[in-house]
Amino acid sequence: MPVEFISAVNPNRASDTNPGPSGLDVEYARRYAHALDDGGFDYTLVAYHSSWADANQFAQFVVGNTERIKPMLAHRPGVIFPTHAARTFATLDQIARGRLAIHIISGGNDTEQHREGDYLTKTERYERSAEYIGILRRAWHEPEPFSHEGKYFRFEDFRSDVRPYQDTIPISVGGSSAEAYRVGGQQGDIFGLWGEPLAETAQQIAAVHEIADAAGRPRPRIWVSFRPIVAPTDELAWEKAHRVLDRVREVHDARAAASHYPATGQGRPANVGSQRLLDVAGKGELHDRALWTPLVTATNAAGSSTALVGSYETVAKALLDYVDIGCELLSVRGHDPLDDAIDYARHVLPLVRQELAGRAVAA
Amino acid sequence: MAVEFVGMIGASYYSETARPSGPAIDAEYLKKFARAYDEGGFDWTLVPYASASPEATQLAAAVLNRTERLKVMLAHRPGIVFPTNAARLFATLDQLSEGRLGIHFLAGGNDTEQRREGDYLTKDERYARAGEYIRILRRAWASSEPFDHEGVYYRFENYSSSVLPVNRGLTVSVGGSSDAAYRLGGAEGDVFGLWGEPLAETAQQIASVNAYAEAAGRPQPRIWVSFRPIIAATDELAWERAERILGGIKDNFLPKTGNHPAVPQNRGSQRLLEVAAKGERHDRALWTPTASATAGAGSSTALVGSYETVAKALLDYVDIGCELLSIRGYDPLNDAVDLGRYVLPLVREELARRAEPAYA
Repeated sequence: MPVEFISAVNPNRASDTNPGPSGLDVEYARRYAHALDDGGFDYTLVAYHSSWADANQFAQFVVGNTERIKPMLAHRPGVIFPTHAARTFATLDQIARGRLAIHIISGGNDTEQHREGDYLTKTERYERSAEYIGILRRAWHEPEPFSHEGKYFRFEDFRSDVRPYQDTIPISVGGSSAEAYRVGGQQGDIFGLWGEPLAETAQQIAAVHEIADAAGRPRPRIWVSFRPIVAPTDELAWEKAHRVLDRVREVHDARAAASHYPATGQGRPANVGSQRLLDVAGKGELHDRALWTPLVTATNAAGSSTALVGSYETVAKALLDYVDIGCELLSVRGHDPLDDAIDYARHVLPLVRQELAGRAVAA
Repeated sequence: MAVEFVGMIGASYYSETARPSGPAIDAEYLKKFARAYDEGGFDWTLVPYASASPEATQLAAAVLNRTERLKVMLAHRPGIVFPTNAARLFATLDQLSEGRLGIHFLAGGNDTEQRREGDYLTKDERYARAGEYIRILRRAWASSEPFDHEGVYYRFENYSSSVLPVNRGLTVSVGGSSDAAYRLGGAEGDVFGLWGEPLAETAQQIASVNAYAEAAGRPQPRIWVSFRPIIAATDELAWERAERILGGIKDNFLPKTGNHPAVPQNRGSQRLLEVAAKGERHDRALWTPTASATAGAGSSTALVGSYETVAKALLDYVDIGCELLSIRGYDPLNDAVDLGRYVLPLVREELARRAEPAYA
């Protein structure tokens, strides 16, 4: 499959450099969705948090305001009964005429999970996700009513009249724990990782592939996430990187209050992905061609936080380095999100696509 | 408050008079139907809930995105979605639609149907749960302050939403004809929904709900009553049409297995069958064989007559205190258009005439 680009859509102006208003700024969200769609992004992550605009509704908003881009809809099992979720996604896929993928999040933080009544342990949450994904697919494809009696869910005689528009709705799984690899390898169409150095990323990819191979199923497509800091030259990009770092440090405490990650000084995050990023940062600030880690340290690895710093050409090459080790979905999200998305679309995406097209011709 | 008209949208053609066919979602049909209600002057459309159907909140969003004025009364069953998530979803949709959302809470009238989505509570427990759920939603809608909850059915800590409904609350509707429904309606409802029984029986139900509202120290809910109008240019033509519709129902209605058993579990359907047993015609235009033919499957009593007769019949219900009038025909889209152009204006004209000051 071709390499695809993904960038999250923001419901408001808040960002790592702007503690900003939370909530739903409809005009801004519409403008953001337009920028991503017009800019040629293939997917947009519609994120999930217990206090943010509802992702399932925001995803339809994105669909209604765009032509091509596909929502990658983040979803946590345990909040909505799986048969209902299956119907929700099938209905949205029909309305979107096939522009939908689902990103299953098992939840990396207990406090955040408690906000919506989820008191399972992390291991149990991953187990539940595995059962849930199975139910989603049965609901989408089983022609006759079916019943289910599992560890986490039980129901009788369910059948949905509404089915996906696509042959099936792609399901992504993310994370860096053994449980994440297992669920992703055994059930994911897509597997999501935060951008670590090439060697570590290749190791994670190998771990997921091994599980998929052992399960006798196709290997998930690999989705890797970065926070690129780009400019017309490498020198300008490094200047920008240091300005961004200063600003992120300034607003960190205000941002952390609204996040589901612990602030710096409040202990290590619970999720393995964040812990791994902190470990990478501990090994050095700059890795491979352009991977830069001080923003990981400055945010206590609150989410995808490794930067790729450089000119448009440098960052395009760095992204291609990841394509070369097997990554297919490339997430790029800036610290000045809307402006960065516009710049990535104009200056970086075309370089990557041109190079890949050139290689395809030469092959 | 003003009398309002309520339709019921579908994502594809469905009528009790025809065998089901075609895809569950027909995008063109949905758009035309939404427009018919919006442009025809309906105030609300119900978006119904069923475990097999296209999902209601996504359909609601699609309807709101294709309309300018129309409000959605979104049917929702507590027990399927965690309440904090539901509160946030509804607040998000209310913001996206600029304040055009209301929620019609269903406690679920049928155990088989409830189990399809993992709900094994008894009916009494479902009503109790609905009460706790509605109170959580109201709290989550009113403020972004974090709060905890430790109740009988739900428990959570430190929840807050950054998205609130436009007016810090949404219209809460409750429906049903059991004592538990009246009690929940009186305790929590801004609106209370009933299926169209004769005037006397409807007035009794209204009195029951109001007694509970008074006991709870709350304002009386606005009463929402539902009918299946069978309209035509003359009464005679309407009765001919009614007989054809009844024939179509008898030939083709296939109860959604388990949802509409021959002996219904829910009090509302049972009452419709009791009314039917007392007679086919009641008051000015109420006709019950359509209910008998479907074992009281949902709103199934007809108002048969010319546009004028049906408008007068609706006004009879306004006169006993009904404010939201649900009218949906057996030919859903065409009837929506015709109700909009022929019946709504008559009712509104009469209400406007009554509101004019009397001149000496």
